[in-house]
Amino acid sequence: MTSADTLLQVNDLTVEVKGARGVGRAVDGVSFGISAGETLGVVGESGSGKSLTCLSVIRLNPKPASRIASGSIRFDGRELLELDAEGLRAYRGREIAMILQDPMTSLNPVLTIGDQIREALKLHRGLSRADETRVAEDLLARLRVPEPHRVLRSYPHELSGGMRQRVVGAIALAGRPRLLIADEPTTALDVTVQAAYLALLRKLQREEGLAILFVTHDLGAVARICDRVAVMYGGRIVESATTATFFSGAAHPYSRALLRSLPDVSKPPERLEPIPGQPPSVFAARKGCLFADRCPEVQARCRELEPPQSSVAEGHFVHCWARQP
Amino acid sequence: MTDAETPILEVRGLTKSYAPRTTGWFTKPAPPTKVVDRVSFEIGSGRTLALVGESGCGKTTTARMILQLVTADQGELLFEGRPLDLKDRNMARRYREKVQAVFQDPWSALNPRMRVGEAIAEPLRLNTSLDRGAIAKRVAEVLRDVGLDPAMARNFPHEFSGGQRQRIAIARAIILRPALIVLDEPVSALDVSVRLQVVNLLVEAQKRLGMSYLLISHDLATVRYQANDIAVMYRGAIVEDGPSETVFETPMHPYTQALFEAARFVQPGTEAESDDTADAALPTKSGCSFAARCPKAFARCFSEAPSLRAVAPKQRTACHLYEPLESRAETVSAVG
Ligand SMILES: Nc1ncnc2c1ncn2[C@@H]1O[C@H](COP(=O)(O)OP(=O)(O)OP(=O)(O)O)[C@@H](O)[C@H]1O
Ligand SMILES: Nc1ncnc2c1ncn2[C@@H]1O[C@H](COP(=O)(O)OP(=O)(O)OP(=O)(O)O)[C@@H](O)[C@H]1O
Ligand SMILES: [Mg+2]
Ligand SMILES: [Mg+2]
Repeated sequence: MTSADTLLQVNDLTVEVKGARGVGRAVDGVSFGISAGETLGVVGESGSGKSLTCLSVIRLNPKPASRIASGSIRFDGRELLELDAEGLRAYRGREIAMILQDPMTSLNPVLTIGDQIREALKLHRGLSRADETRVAEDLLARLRVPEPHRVLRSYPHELSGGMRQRVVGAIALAGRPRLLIADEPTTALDVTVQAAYLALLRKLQREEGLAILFVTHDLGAVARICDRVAVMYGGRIVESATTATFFSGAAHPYSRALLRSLPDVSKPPERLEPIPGQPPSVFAARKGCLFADRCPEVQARCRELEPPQSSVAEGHFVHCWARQP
Repeated sequence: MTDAETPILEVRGLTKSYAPRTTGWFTKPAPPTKVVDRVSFEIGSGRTLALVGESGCGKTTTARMILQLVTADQGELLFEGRPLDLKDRNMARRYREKVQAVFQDPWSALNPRMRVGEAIAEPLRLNTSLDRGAIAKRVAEVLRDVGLDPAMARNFPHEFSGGQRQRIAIARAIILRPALIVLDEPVSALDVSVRLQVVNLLVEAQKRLGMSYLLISHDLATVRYQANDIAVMYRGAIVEDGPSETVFETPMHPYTQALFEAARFVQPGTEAESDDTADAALPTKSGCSFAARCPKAFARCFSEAPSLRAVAPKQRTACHLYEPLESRAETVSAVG
């Protein structure tokens, strides 16, 4: 699966978390690659390990609550897991920027927005202060933040939820990273602002070869921006496909259930049908397929053996006993 | 007491401005920015009013004024048909009991060191004189109401998933049997499936307990499912309102149309629209705040602000496209 222009290649990543009930595997043998100019969408249920996967790439996973147990993370040919804290710092922000799921954790409450964006610009480009302000205003305006000059002088608590989320996006993009890891970057945005945000990412992807790891539970956003989709369930990637294939021919029963539950805004809805059942706990026994208890197509062996990866078509992989060739 | 016709809450002309930060001693202070501008609506008993609109348009500020977390510059609230007077201590207490809130973030809404049972019981302890046994009973009841095992009362928040925490926040909001719950993006932090579970839970709780909801959300699909009425805000003001289905079927205001259009599922591979909208973000000084971005704007839109007026039975919009010229004089006086 590794091609010459792969920018980020994650292989067999396993992350353990500690809890009152012992040690659990929150990320379990996850592998994926992203090329320059490509966007990989990661979708999956709450608690399936999406954020931990993202955080682990730049080793921002919570410590000591979690630990990267094994795996390999190669960025531009370099093994990131071999780097020490100092070595990693050279990558963070500049080569790899991360948008954290909770905007408030990445904003400094006592600095103005302008200071925080300028700081990101300063780290990574040599601009005059006037130019910094101009670039910062331009970035905010592209993310449809009204009155960017006012926002630059504001403090985080003076902004709306969605404005804060866009500011965090602007800080990440200010460093002109080659890889953007975006964990739910648009949850607090209305759809028109989101469309502008995604269009900007699309443009950076085309024109500057920006690679994006895009975590979201918004399948509409996936359709707009992702080239490929990886579906996570219980810490594992259970399916990966091109975006078009995912929407037209998802193979895994969980992916299908997810797509079916998507309500359609263009019709008056009769009822909402969530996927029945609960996701597995990270501390539960990891035997067989973790979706088995909720699966409409469950077979006897599903509860005993972990389904191996099989190829549905070129570039389309699934882990499911009911989809073996 | 109120009859079914009296709205549970009426909001009249709520307005809030924030003074801008000064840049230096030599610059003239800019006028305060109005972030909520004469917002009025009513929430019927047992009904859900959805408040939707662009990020930063003033939805949360409106909610916080209703919850008395932010002081309004102007405007008044009528609760159960009577003007809300917080100096009247009985009324203030009743209002605090009967109006509850659930916010977006299931992670920060709960005190990490408090067992969830205590957190849920807190409003009862503060507002009633029930004894411990009675409180424990009510806690177990509401936990069951929100689909959680009453035994979970002894657990701490970090032991719950996002969807479960949002259920806990809802349990805490409904334990006083409120008349109105303000829901500020109650599901936006949740994945699709958990989101639908929580929406179903809210709808069932409403049917059973007869509460009203003020629902703030960017998720238009669940808004369409939940709301009886809808109000669309843009830059601090309501630009369109009416019965939810009517507005979803026939949106009148160009902003509402753009919003609903953007919410439709795009087939993968469809080009994302260009992002050259940056400069269009400046509102005009005297005209309609949407004019600079409006595909249908004409001269009048840049000089005169449209007022919210009926365009169909029960549907109102603030747009010059729908104003017959004859009534123009009347409109201008209604704005002033
Ligand atoms: N600091 C922590 N301590 C203990 N367990 C944790 C910690 N952080 C995450 N976990 C556990 O690891 C699992 C994966 O969490 P993660 O945050 O990656 O999920 P996610 O897929 O991002 O979910 P969401 O869609 O809700 O953001 C969860 O079961 C979670 O409970
Ligand atoms: N304490 C404050 N000081 C100054 N400005 C503020 C303050 N609180 C809010 N604002 C401004 O008021 C406007 C409306 O914010 P509000 O949080 O009400 O928006 P919102 O509609 O809830 O947006 P979102 O959908 O992003 O949550 C924003 O421009 C914001 O910057
Ligand atoms: Mg996450
Ligand atoms: Mg808000």
